[in-house]
Amino acid sequence: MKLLNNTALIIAFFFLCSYNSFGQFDLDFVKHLSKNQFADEHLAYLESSALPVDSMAYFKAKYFIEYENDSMFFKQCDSAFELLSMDTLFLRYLDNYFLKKEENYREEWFIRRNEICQKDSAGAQFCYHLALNPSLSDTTKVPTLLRDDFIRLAKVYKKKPVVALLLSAVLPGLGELYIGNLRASIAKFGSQTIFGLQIVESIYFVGLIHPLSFVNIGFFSAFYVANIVGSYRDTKTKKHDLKNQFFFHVSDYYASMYPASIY
Amino acid sequence: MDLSATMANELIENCGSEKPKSRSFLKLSKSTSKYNPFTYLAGGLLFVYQNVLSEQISANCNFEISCSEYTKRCINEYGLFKGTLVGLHQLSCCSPTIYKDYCEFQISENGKVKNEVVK
Amino acid sequence: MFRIITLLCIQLQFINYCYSQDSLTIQLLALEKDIFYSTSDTVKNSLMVQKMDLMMKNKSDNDLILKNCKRIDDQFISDSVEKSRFLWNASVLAYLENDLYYALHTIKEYQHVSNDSSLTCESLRFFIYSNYDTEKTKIIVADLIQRDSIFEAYECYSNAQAYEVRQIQFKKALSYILPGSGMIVNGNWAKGLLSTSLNSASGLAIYYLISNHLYINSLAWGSNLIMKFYIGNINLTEKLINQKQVFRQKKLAKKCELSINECLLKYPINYKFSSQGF
Repeated sequence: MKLLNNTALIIAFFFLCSYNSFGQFDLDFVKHLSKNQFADEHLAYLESSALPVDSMAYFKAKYFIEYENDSMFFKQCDSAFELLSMDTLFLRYLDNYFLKKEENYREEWFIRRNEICQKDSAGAQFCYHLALNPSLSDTTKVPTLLRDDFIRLAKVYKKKPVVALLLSAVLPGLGELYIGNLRASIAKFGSQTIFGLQIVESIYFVGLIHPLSFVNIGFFSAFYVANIVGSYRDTKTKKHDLKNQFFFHVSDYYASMYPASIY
Repeated sequence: MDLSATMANELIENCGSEKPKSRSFLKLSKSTSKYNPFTYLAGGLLFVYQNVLSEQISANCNFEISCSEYTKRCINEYGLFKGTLVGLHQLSCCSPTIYKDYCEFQISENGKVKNEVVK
Repeated sequence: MFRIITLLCIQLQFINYCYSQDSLTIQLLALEKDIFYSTSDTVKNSLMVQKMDLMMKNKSDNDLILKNCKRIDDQFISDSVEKSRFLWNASVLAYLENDLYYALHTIKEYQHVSNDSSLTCESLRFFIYSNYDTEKTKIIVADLIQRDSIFEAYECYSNAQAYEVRQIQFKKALSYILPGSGMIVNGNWAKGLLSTSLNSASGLAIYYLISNHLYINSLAWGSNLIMKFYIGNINLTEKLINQKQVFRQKKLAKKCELSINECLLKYPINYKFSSQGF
C-alpha cells in the first residue's frame, strides 16, 4: 500500500478507464469488419475509438444502416448531420435504401434528407417527391426507363374508389377493370355469371323455394356484395402498391446508374 | 449442453420432421364481436374447414395468407360482416394467374401473392 | 482516504474489464486487428485459428464460429497437428450447423492430414455421412461394430433411417379406384372414411342434379366438388403415407437415442483445443 503513491494510482485508474479507447481510428479496418460482417467487433471498434461526437455518430449511422437497424440510424442521424451532408455517395445509398423500406421510415428519411440538402431537380429524391402527388404532366421529368411505371401510377392515382364501387354494383368485375386488374375482373365476372346461370336454371327447374336455389342465391349475393366492397378497397390499395413498386424501380434504377455505397 | 449430447440430438432431429401443427380457432379481440353468436358460427366453420376439409381438397391457395386464414383474421379485425366480405373478396380473386395483377415486390419467392390484414 | 477511493475505482474498472460481457468482443477485436494488419498469410491464418478457438471456448454462436472458420485457408497452416486440429473442429462445427458439404470436405481433409482411424473419428464420420450416403454409412457402421459392439446403436439408427412403409404403390392405386380406401389401408380410418363419404355424397348430389336436368348446376358443382375431393383424396393419401414413414422413422430413431448417448459417453466427440493455449 505504501509503495503506491498518488500519481501511480491516478495513472493506473486512467489507463483502465481508457483501455477501450486507445489506438488510431483506421477506416480500412472498419471496411474490413464491414466486408466480413463482424457486427460485434465492428461496434466494439467504433465504441473504443477516440472519435469526436459527430464522427462517432456518423460511423455508427453507417453501422446501423449496414445491419438494417433503421430506428437506431435515425437516433445517430441528428448528431452526424454535417458529415452526412458532405458524403454524397452515402446519401445516394440511403435514398436507394429507404425507397425500399416501410412507409414511415421512408417518410422520416426524406424529411431529414430535405433538411440535409436542398431538393434535387433529378435523382431518387426528386422521383420520391414527384410520386407523392403524381401527375401525367410530370412524366417527362422522370427518367425514360421509369416512365411506364410513373404513367401507370399517375393514371391509377386519378381513379376514385367510389366510382369503382358503383361500377362493381352495375356489373361484377367492372370495378376491378376500372383500376386495371384484368385477371381479377375476369375471375369475378366469370364466377358471378356462372352463379347467375345456376340461379336461373334452379328456379326454372326446381322452383324458388328449394334448398338448391337458396344455396345458389346465397352464394351469388354474398360474392356480389363482397366484390363491391372489395373494389372500393382495391382502388385504395392499388395506389399504395403502385407507388411502392415505383419506389422499388426508382431505387434499382439509381443503384445501377449511379453506384453508391456505405463506405 | 454438452457437445456430444448436442450432436446426438442433431442426429435424432435429422431423422424425420415435426408433425404439422393444427390451426387455431378464431381469436376475438373486439368486445363488440364477442356477443355475436354468428361470429362463433363463422369461426367454427372456418376451423372445421382448415382442420378437416382443406386437406381433403388439397387446398393450395394463391395467396401467402390463405383465403380461410385471411377471412379469420379479417373477422377478428373488422368484425363479422365486413370481415366475411373482405375474405370472400379475396376468395373470388384467388386464381392461379392472379399474381399478374400484382406488383413484383408483392410476389413471394414461392410465387404466392403477399397479403396482409390492414389495421 | 484519497488512496482508498482511487483504489476502489481501479478495482471497479478492473472488474468491469474482466467480467463485462464485452470482454470477449474486445479480445476478438484485438485478434481481428492483428489479422488485418499482419502481412504474412501464415500468421493471418494462425491468428484466425486462434480467434476460432477463443470463440469455441467461450461458446459463441456456432454460425459465427463457422463464418470465421470458413475464412481460414488450411494450406497456410504449416503445422500438421494444428492443421488436423482445425479440420476436426471445422467438421464438427459444420455438422452442427448442417453445412453438409463443408463437413464432408473437412472430414476428408482431416483423415488425409492426420491418418486418424480412431473410433471417435469414425464416429464423427458416421454422423456426417448419415445424412448423405446410406451405403457408406453402412460400411462405417459395420467397421465400428467390428471394433466395439457398443456401436450397434448406430446400426439401430441406420435401420431407423432406412425404414419404409409397406405397400406404398398398392395404397396409392387403391386411392385411385375407391377414394379414401388408400388412407384406410394406411391406418388413417377417420380421414379415409370422411374422404369416401365426401366423394360419394358429392357424386350423389351430381347424380341428383343431372336427373333433374340441372346441367349447369351439375357442371359447376361437379367441377368444384367431385374433382377437388377426388384429386384431394389421391394427394392426401400420398401425404399421409409420407407422414407415416417420417413418424415411424423418428419413433425408431428415438428408441436408439439412449444407446447413442452411451456410445458418445464412451467415445465423446469434442472440439480439439491447442495444448499451448494463447
